[in-house]
Amino acid sequence: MQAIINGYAKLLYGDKVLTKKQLATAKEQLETISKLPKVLAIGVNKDNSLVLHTDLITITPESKITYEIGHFQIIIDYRTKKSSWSTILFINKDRIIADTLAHPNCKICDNNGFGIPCLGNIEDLMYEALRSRNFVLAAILCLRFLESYHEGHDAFGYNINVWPVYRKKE
Amino acid sequence: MARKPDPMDILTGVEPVVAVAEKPKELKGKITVAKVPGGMEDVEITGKITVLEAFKRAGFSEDDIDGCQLQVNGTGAKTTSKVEPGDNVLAVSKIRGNRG
Repeated sequence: MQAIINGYAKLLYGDKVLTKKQLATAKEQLETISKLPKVLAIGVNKDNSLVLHTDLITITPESKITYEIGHFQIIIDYRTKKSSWSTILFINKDRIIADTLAHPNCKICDNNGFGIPCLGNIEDLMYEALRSRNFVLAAILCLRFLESYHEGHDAFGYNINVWPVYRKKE
Repeated sequence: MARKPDPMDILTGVEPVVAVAEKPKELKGKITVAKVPGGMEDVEITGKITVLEAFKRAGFSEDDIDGCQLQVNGTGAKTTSKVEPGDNVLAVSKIRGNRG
């Protein structure tokens, strides 16, 4: 756990020598992220990206059917600041739909299985959160995004109903 | 019976607890107030305030967050819920991916 705290503190404050207060802040934020609904595990990669593993993500559009999307690995890479397209990646650990989709709003990159999200109307806010190194807010937005679906703007021509049915309301 | 793994144990294996000082709750500090769609604002507060007050101080009106789902640190909240320094407050009307 200490390694994660140190890694996360570097994400927050850079490579300078860290104070006890900064480490305590890092620990507090990590605990907040670890307690977010659907978060199963968190970590910091050696390349300074924050990684979240989620529980099963489902989506219930405005209908009686809940669709099973999958368990995700979310990678929030702070180093690349050009745009949100390259700073947030979603990996669906359960399935890829139509060889193309990790999520209704995430297209797969060639070969590597990484889903690149089209963040839509949260893109600006996500960029602001990352710019200010507010990884708690970025994580919250990622989770909300995964549980969202933009009806009528289905990704790449596929409807939500290509995903497996998780539950039907009677 | 094995204990349930802590969310932060899973990637690193379970390690002995390492002493990192608990951060004392600060009476004065920043909260982040965000709305989707909209934007985010850091607001300096002293002590605890309500979610509604947080949005007002961030420049949002009661009408702006009417009908939105409210969250404090990712957990559902009401306009009367209390927030304190360090918290993230979010109002979501509707997330729309694939905008383009």
